[in-house]
Amino acid sequence: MDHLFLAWKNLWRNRRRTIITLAAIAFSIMLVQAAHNLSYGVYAGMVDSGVRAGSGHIAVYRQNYLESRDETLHFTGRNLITEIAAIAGVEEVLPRLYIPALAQSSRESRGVMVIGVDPQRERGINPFLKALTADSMVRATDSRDAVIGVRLLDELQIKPGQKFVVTAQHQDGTLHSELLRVRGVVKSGMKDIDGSLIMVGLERAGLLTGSSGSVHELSVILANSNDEETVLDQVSTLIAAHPGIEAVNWERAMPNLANAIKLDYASQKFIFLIILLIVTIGVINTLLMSVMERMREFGVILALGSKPMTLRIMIMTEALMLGLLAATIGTLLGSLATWYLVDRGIDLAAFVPETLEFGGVVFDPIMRASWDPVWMSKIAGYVTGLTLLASLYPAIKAGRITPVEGMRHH
Amino acid sequence: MLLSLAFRNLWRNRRRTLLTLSAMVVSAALLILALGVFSGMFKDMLASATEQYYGHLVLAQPEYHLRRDLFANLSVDIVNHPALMNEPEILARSPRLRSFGLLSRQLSSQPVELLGIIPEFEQQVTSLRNKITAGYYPKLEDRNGAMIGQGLANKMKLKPGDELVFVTQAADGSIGNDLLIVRGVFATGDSRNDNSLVLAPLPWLQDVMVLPGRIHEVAMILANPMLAAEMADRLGPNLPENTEVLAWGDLLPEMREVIAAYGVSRMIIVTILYLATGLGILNTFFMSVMERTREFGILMAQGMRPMAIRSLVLLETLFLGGIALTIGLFCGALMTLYMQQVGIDLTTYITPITYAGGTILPRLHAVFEVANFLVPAGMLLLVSLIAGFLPANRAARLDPVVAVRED
Repeated sequence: MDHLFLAWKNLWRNRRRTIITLAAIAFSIMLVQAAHNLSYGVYAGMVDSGVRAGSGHIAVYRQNYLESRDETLHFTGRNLITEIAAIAGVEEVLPRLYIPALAQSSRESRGVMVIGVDPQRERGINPFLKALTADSMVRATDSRDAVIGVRLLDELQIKPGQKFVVTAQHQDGTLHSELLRVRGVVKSGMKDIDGSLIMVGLERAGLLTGSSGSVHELSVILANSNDEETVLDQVSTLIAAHPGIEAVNWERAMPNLANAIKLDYASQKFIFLIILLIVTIGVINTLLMSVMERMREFGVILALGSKPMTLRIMIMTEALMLGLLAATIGTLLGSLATWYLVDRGIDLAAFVPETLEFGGVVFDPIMRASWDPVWMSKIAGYVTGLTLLASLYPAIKAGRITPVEGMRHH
Repeated sequence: MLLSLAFRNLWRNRRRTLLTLSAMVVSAALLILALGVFSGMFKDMLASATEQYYGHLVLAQPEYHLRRDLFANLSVDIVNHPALMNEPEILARSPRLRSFGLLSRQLSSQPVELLGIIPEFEQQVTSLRNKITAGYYPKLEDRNGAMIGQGLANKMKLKPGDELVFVTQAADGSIGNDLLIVRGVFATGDSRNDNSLVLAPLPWLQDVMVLPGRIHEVAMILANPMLAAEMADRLGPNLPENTEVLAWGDLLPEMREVIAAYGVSRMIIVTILYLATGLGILNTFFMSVMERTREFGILMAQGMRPMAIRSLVLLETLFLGGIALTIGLFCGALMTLYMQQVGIDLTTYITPITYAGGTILPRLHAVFEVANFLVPAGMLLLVSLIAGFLPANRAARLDPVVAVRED
């Protein structure tokens, strides 16, 4: 107890120095925590809109489809849909057929991706369809209605209500065409999507290739993304009865998005690392100064019979206190910053393009943080540990002085 | 005299100065490295869109780039327009005809974008010839020789020598189709190009599309891509009516904005990092000033002006900043050079990532950019000065009588 008290008092002997050091540590903790929480929130948003338009949190494919995107790898999904939808935590199961095709109007032709969907289910989930009114969505799975990307509409030089033709390779080897009518227009903000998306009913898409009744993908949307692992296990068990079919998580189904997040976070971590390195050097400096100043005092303490170990422990206790105090203040400030970023967010609309695509999703210019308390306490713990680590050298140095030397020191 | 005094003062507590210095060097050097790598990513991204596809400057009919209208074509003679030929900044020009259609072979067919090109010219504009993984760049004499992307080759299980059928809409309203022979396969790492881009000789495509002597655009490459916008403005008035020259920034507005926004994010990263460093410098100089209270008192008692004391302390921080800067820039440049020459390959960890209309390749690779050195350098000096200001002020405000009494 005496040690703790003494260490605390020592800490405040040079108040300005301690406060500046404290500020440096606390400031970096705040910064790292707030930046992490901000990314955490932004990534969560990207993943959410990414999986809803893409593979879902969990996707079910025929084996090898994911790697080859070979259209012949489809499977019959009807029973699976109901079975998977019954699993707790599953919000929706979206059946999809992906058919590369050629779209032709009377003037132009373009390469497109025809996606066969279940219109009702799809509309409730897919963010691309959010702006569509109920009657501009495909009406039935076998209708000739199509929802089409805005740029594609423009390039084909057609208007809503007008007809166009899509041609694709039928299973029997011939080219098969279907007449479609523009029902709704999608404006996702992504050039690739807006320039090549055609969404039609599942049955109509099946007619193109002769794969009626089957799907390429079951996109499983979860109510809460944290359930991903448990639901994936359940889905895997369920489809074990269907050989040749696999269930994968979104990281595998959408490597572009997963890697975009990975790369972004890695570069951020590098910056975090530099900050912590600089702060640690600063802490070593401060502690070392405080030891050098007290050489004479340490000499006296040793001369009075204290053991070098006691001195070392005292210096490390000082560092620990400094670290804990800084971690507390830093986490408080970090929480405050996070609270602001959750509540208000940062509006980057002035700096980034209106529709910025990153990793296959549209980047929301209003960045909002989201709480990650586990990580926040982890970083607070790390920094306290770093402070303690920084005290090793000064502590060893203090333990090495002989009483005579120390007392002679000015 | 003040200068040598400041320099000597710096080394009175060598350990402290060295530690502070190391923090400054670390922050500056690693920052320069990080910025160099970020710039490298942007360069890859820009190159994926320009040097592998668009070129830096594109001449076409107005609005062609928005709708890719089949009928918005030009005479092939425009390639040799004097305004283009007499511009030394333009290194190469390639006439292109573009067609969208379906490529099929037996049981598989894929939608593709087919560019009709003259190989000799196209090779100077885009860098695909350096990305060939099988076969060779088709020659004009091959007539119907095609070069396809690796992704397309994998999907359709194609290799050089294989025959394909290309189906598209022709200008006379008919359905054009003709045989193509795969001559080469390229891999850029950009999934869009690799999965759907096909190059074939211009005369062959002109036949298929029934557009003899016509092209859609002239793609050009510049000595300095950053001057593209300026160049587009300069060329515009000298070109025939019903044509438009667009810089890559106009074709890829989101990429232009992202690159512009990079300047802002660079500033933010630098500021944040240096705030932490600045607090360290502030601490060191406060300590060093406090230690010398008595000394300053004596100097003042002997007639040194407060202004001179202030300058002394500020000079010390500036010296420290200057030394940190020299070492930091040197180390930063060294690391950047290493990352430029060697780099780190990430292909085993991640796949290419699409960003703002381009592709970030799975590699860490740095480029030298003046601003990546100037911004950290300038900010480091500024931070040193600001961090030195408070202690300097304190030293200058000392009352000699009180100060000399200090123990």
